[in-house]
Amino acid sequence: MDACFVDVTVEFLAVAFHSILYYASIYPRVIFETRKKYSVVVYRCLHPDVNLYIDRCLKSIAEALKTDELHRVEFAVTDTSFTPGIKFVFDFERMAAYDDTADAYLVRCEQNLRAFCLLLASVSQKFNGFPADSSFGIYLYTNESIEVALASMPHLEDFPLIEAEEEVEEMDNIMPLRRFSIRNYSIDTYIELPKPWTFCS
Amino acid sequence: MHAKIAKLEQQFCSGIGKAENQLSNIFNGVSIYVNGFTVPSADELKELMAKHGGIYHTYQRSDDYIIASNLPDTKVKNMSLAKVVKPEWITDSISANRLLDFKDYLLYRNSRTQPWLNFNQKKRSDVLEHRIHKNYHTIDANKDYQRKEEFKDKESSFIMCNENFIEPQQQSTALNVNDSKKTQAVTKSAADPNFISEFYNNSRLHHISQLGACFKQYVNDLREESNFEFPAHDEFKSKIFSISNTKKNTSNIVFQDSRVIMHIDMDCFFVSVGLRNKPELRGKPVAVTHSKGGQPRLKRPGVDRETEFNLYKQKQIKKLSKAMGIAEDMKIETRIDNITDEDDKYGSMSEIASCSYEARAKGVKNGMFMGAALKLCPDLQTIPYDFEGYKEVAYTLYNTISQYTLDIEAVSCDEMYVDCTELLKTLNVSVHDFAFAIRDEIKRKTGCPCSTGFGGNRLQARLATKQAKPNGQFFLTSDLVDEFMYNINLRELPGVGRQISTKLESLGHITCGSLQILSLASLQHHLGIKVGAQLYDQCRGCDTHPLTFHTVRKSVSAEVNYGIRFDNYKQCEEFLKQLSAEVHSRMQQFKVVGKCITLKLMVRAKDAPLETAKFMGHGFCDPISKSTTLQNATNDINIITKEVISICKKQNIDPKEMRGIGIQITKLDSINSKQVRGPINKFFTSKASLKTEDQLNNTETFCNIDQNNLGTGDRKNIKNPSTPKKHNAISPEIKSPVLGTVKSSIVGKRRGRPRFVKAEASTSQNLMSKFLQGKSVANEICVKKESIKEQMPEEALVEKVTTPGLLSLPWENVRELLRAWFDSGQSPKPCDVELIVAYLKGMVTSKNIDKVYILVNFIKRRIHGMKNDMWNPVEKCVVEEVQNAMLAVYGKKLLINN
Repeated sequence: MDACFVDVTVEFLAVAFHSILYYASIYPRVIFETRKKYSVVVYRCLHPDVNLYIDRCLKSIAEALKTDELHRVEFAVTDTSFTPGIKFVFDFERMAAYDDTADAYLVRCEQNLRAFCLLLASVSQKFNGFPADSSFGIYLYTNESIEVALASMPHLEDFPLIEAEEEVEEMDNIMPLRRFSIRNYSIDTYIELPKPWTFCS
Repeated sequence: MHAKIAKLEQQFCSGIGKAENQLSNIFNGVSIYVNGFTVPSADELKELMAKHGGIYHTYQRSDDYIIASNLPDTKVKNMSLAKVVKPEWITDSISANRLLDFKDYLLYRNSRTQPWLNFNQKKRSDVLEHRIHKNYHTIDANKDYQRKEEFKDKESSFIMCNENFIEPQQQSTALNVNDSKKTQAVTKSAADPNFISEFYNNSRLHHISQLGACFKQYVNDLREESNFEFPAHDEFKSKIFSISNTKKNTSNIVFQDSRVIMHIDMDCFFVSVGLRNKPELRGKPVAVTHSKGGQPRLKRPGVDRETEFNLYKQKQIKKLSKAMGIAEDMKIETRIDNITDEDDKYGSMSEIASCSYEARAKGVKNGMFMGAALKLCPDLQTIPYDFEGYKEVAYTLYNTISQYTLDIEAVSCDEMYVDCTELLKTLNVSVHDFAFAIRDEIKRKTGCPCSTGFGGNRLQARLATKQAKPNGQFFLTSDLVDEFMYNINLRELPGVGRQISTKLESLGHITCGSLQILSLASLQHHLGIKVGAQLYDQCRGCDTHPLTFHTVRKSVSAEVNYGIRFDNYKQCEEFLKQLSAEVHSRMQQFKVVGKCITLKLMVRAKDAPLETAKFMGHGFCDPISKSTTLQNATNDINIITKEVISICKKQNIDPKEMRGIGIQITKLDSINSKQVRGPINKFFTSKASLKTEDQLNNTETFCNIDQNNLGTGDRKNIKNPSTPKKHNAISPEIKSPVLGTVKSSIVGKRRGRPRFVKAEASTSQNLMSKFLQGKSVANEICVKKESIKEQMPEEALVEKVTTPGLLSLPWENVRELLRAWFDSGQSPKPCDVELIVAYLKGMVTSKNIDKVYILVNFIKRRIHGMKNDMWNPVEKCVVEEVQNAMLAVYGKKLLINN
């Protein structure tokens, strides 16, 4: 596992989560501040509890990524009963053939991440019709041994993973966002939408 | 320590002188070392030895007899048991007042359950033997004695080989000692640490090939150091005239191509050398073999000769029938026919290396097994090998010829080709007289008969020798060639073995005469281009290969296929280490480094019996040969050992199944000795020269005697053909000698090493040109790419060309293609749709759905915009296929805008 990959990915996920929160209008937009990341404007939540949750999730994700056992991270926008309405999916896939020298300074990688952020902004017009009391959750797709391992880590002790309930509603449609690679991993990002989904446009 | 040992020995010697009560000289030349408790005790034995002319060593020397009553197990395992003798040997010898054969008193004769091989090299023939020696070398004893004294001073070591020259009055005893030195060895398996040295001391094939290679090198060295002046010419000429005065041969002998090639071959070499010491056996059928013959042995459990022989036969038949292309139900005669079981009188599987003409008359042949030979000739006498004798006679033979010319191609220790064209011109004598004189000289010097054949090329000379045998000469002159060749059996041609001859016989050709009818093309059709052409020449008595006087070594190897029986992998690895060391020492001897290491294994075939028909032989085996090529040529023992062991490990063979192991180094390069002349190297070479010193003396003595024998010899004038330097190079060691193939290459008369230089030059050129070529190829590719790019926009207008380009294009350009496709105004073709669908599906499978999303939406938008009904099915088809692929890969459909 490339340490660089973990750092870049966790940083990227943080930016992505905050941006999704902002664009999906789950919280009022006043609690966000603007920041500059990847040479573009991104939004960051200021609410301590939200940030705490996101930070702890990211810590778990970082640990899971190090073990090479994390396949997928989902950011689900839910209703009050925590039933997912729309999911932002980040698939991790290890590449067999990888040229170490190809993108040594991560220039292309940064471009890709920037592109993702801009893409998110452009598609955000399509999903701002969430009810006011919607919430969100972060799902990690991994195996049980990682769960146990994470639970036994001292700095993650008070934030164990909780097994997700059986998915009530199977998502039906996929809207691709972008596929790119960070070091020797390729990350596939797309949005899963429920069946009767209609854009508010 | 050395000083101490020397002092002790001095004390012992001076003790003898003081006592002056020396009773006898029984133990003259015998030295003993007492190991452990004995009766009589060590002190008593010391006294006895002193009284009876022997030597007692307080510390063991390598040539000591070890006197012991019993030995601990570790000692038994680690030392050669050939000389461990019971103390009774001493006491009994004294009471018999003569030196008894120590073999009867060996302590560990039967310690191992295995039976003996009869390795005894010489039987005692006491005075007779000496007489022969004396006749052949009328020695100026005093002169020789002085010479030996000088050598003694130099080396301060006792030269056993020359003992009989030093003390002429005591020859019989000296010989006795000599004989008993040749020890009888207990059969060991390869697991034994002493196995390799013992093996090489007794292997006949090893000695023969070693001698062959040795003489090739010898000729090389002689040529390199000679100034090509032959002072012996005059003397030889006068001798020839003295012989030929009486019978002036006026018949003009003319050979083909006006060349005179002589082929010399000793008549049944091993036998005649062996018979020098046993005149009582002359005229009787005699065979040289390890076996004593006719002594049935206990049958070993697990031996199934019938099965094994059948396997051999099947293999042979398979080979032959493959060569001839006929069914496999033929019957062939092989040498394993009629071999009975081991406990039978005729069951011996010891090979006959050579047999006398009397034995040949009864049908015994070289290479036959002893059992079969005894059936044909029950009174066949066997004599053991005498490797020292062979070497001695062979050196004499080569030295004799090299006095007169160096245009020699060594074939083996008893066989060579000589280009006499120049020699006869300078001598201005007839071939007939020359042949007679040279044969006479060889016979006189060596005591062995030889035959010579003369012809216009090497083939003719060789065939002529066959005609000349035994003890004769034959001149295959140009007028005789056609008639002579007509009756030659095809099997007699060199290079024609069983396979080719059987094939030719199936075509109805047995003699060269009948083969001459066939055209070159049809011969090549039957036998292949190379062999066909060769045979076409050969059956007409032509031979295009010139003699090669300088040979280049192509490989160094050591191979042991006898006595390989391991219990575990550790023993195998240990043996590989030893064998690597053996190869390493040979490489050093020839001053070469090699790149390619080959490990040859013989593994018991699955259906072969567990115990081999021949005792400790390899039996029926599957040969395995694996090699690795190193980056750099090396002769580093560690690298060789490491590589060999790693190859062996990879094969994953049960060590118990191994029957033969060989290591071969090829792709040789000679070391520039000046570059790597480190102190270690020096140590090795100086050691080697020490070892060979006594050999050297031996041969040198013979040369001198030879020259003395000539009678008219003026010694100062004769350039001694053997200087120490040469001997270092050929290094005729006993323990680590040459085995392996020396293939000759045609270099002609030029000396040095032109081949390597050439090769290097050419490779460097190749590299350069390759580099240049590679560059130009790369350039071409670039140009092509650019041109394709340039052409694309134009071709995009034509659908058929555009669609196949989909996959090789970056995906952005696909949209351009699609746009061109939609705008072309033609009706869509199914094949194009299929191509696009396949492309999109491929994108889904590789999870590039972001691009698929864009493309599908693009297609949908465009087709909607066209408002052409013909295109609607296309859209439907594409969307449907993509969704199917999405469901297969993601389990979900792609979101498609309406």
